[in-house]
Amino acid sequence: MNEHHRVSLSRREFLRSTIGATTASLFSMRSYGARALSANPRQKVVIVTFGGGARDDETFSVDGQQYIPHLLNTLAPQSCFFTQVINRGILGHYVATASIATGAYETFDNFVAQPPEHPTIFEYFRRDLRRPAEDAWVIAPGDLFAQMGSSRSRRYGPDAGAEVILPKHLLASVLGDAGGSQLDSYPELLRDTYEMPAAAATYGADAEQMHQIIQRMKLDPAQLRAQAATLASPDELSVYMAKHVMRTFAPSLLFLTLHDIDIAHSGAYSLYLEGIQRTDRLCAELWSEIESNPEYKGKTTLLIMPDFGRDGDSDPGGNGFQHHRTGSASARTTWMMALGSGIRQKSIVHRPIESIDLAPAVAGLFGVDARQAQGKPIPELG
Amino acid sequence: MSTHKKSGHPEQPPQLDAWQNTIARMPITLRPTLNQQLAEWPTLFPFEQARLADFFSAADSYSPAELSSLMAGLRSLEAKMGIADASFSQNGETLEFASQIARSAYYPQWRGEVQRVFNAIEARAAGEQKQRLPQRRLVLLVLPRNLPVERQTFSQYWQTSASEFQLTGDCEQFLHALMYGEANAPSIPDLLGSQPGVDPSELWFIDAENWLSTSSSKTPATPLSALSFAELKPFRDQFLAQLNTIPRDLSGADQVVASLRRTDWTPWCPAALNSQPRLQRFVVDLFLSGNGALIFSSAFAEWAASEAIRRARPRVVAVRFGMRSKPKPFTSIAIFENQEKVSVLPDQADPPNSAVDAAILARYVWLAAARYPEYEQALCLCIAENLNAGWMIAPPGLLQPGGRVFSPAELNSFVTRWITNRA
Repeated sequence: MNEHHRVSLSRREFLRSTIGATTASLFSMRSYGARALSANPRQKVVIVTFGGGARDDETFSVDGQQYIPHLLNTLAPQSCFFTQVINRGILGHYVATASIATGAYETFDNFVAQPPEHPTIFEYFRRDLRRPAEDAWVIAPGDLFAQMGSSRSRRYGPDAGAEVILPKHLLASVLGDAGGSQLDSYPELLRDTYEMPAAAATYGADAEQMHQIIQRMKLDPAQLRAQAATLASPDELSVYMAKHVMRTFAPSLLFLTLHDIDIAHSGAYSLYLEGIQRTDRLCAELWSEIESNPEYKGKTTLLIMPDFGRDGDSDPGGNGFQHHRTGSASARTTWMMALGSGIRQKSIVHRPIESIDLAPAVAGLFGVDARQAQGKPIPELG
Repeated sequence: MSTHKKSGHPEQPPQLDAWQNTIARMPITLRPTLNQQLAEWPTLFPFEQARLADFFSAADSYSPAELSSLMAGLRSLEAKMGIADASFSQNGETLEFASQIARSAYYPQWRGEVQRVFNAIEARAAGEQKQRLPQRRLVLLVLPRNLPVERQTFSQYWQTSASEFQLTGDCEQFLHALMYGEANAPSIPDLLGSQPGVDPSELWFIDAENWLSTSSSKTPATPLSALSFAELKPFRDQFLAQLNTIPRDLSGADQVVASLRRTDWTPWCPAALNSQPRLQRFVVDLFLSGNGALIFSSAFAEWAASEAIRRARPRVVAVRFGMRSKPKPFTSIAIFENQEKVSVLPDQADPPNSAVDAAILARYVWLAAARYPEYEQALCLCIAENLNAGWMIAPPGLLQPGGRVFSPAELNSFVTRWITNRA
């Protein structure tokens, strides 16, 4: 048994005993071709990356279940659960998230904002289905992610990409309207990345561009300011923004990157746990929004997946939960939860998939071809 | 020209030219790390210097054909990775180097191959060394009384490998006796200091607060490498301010990191740290490598202890964890920010969550030590003062004292007899 399998086995056994999930077999699935031919033109997909990497120890292990009550009790019983999702790429948050979006392991510098090399799922979706810009959105945690909505591909590129929203930039912009001094009141919401010391974002640039985005999003600056004052974290701001986008534009493809959990880099275990609990709650909130919004109810597939895990307590060269530097099985092996339209509930998938399989799988749900992706379609989602 | 500073630490390796020639025969991707260690020789701890000398001695014992054969796999990978065209500096480790390597599709294989090469050379080095009796060591982890550790939380980290014991009386007296001694019992620094040639890196006291300077009017005997998160505050604040100027590109970040290493931090450091330049440099490297070490006291304590163990293999490392403040409303998790600067609200201690943090971080210190063969003969004690309890991991063969209830004096006696080979 390899290490990836060992990590996933504990999840599988746990879920089976907790929610009575059954094993999903490839034989019971429709073929990818059949699925593509019958793709629902009203299909919507919401992708959530589960906040900056979380380990089994604090989520799906017996000891960890206390931190994910919503995933476990509300979402898992309605889901098809993939117990073994392996990320074989670079374990940096932006490059890994971009790889999920392109279906190919990107190899660019994780700490420099830049478009991915391979076409994104947003580009395949919009170009092949001739969808407007408002039909694909990315809600991202910081400016490193600003260019993940489209690739460097000459065939695709920004004209075919997703609208990328950086909620903290928007907040900074509306706070700027009210007086720059207020910025200091919101540093927790403006924190950009926990991965690298002192990688603070520079807010306030491109004020005109921000103003245009706010107008295009039909955001009320006063309302955003008031709402932000009730929020406890960047991810709460992101989910607020995601709901606003869903209610205003009802996009068919929405990619939400949560990031609070990555506070683990600070070494404060209690804040890491708090981040997991918050992310768990926010995932349930998002599912509730999907179920209560007529534009989404009954036609939306929700996919929740960490971008990768974190180092194990005993991994040589690591420092436990704090980082994701060792490349161990604990850091590379995660899970995926699929709910909603077309998903077989209470099922679990044993076989390993890779994080780059998500883009081809989503392409399959829309009936488009992620032709440059390296990942494989996921028939169990059909 | 003298190659020794006043402190007695040589400024250059004893065989600099020969070792540089050895590095030149190594594959390109091994050179930055090795060159950096040579360049930073005076800042290396004795253990690191000895290990490096052993490494070069073993590497030089390979015939050219043997060395070529050993490195063939790595050179082949470097060719596939296009390393020959890479622009990174070979003089030292940089973010640019790390980034170029990590972005390669061959990165996992490269890591494995580097590990294989180092393992082979170090195995030969170990074979050349005389067999030494493993030294007795002590890893002491203290969660002070102000941290409300829950027994169940604490037990889960230790129950499988450690035995629990109870402490009677004032737990703090144990640490006091250990560091300052008692009427008929010398302190650990006294005991180690009485042995010839003991370096300060043999004994570390790492404090999330400032217990050492406030718990007694006495000063512990040297040798001692003592670090206090609280007393480093001016240093931390100044360091954080400069760290926050790092630009968003790798070459710029490398320049800032190099600048931070060159900066004279004397005006912001405690006097004791200024008298130990090697320890001061250790703290700079610590701040650059551990994200939370600048912000949270227990994260500092854990990372400092783990790095001390990795780099210096001390005979005694004592770590005292501490409190962190609650995240403030609308400043809260402003990691890498100075909370006092961004909010006028007073700090408010967060005892329950500080206890959660300290409980797991204490275990991480022991896990860091347990990775190394030097700690096969280590006694580990983790004490939760609020529970009047501790957990003990005893090395094989150590006859633990009878019973499971100790007074602070009895525990101190047991520990000092152990470390001085009398137990």
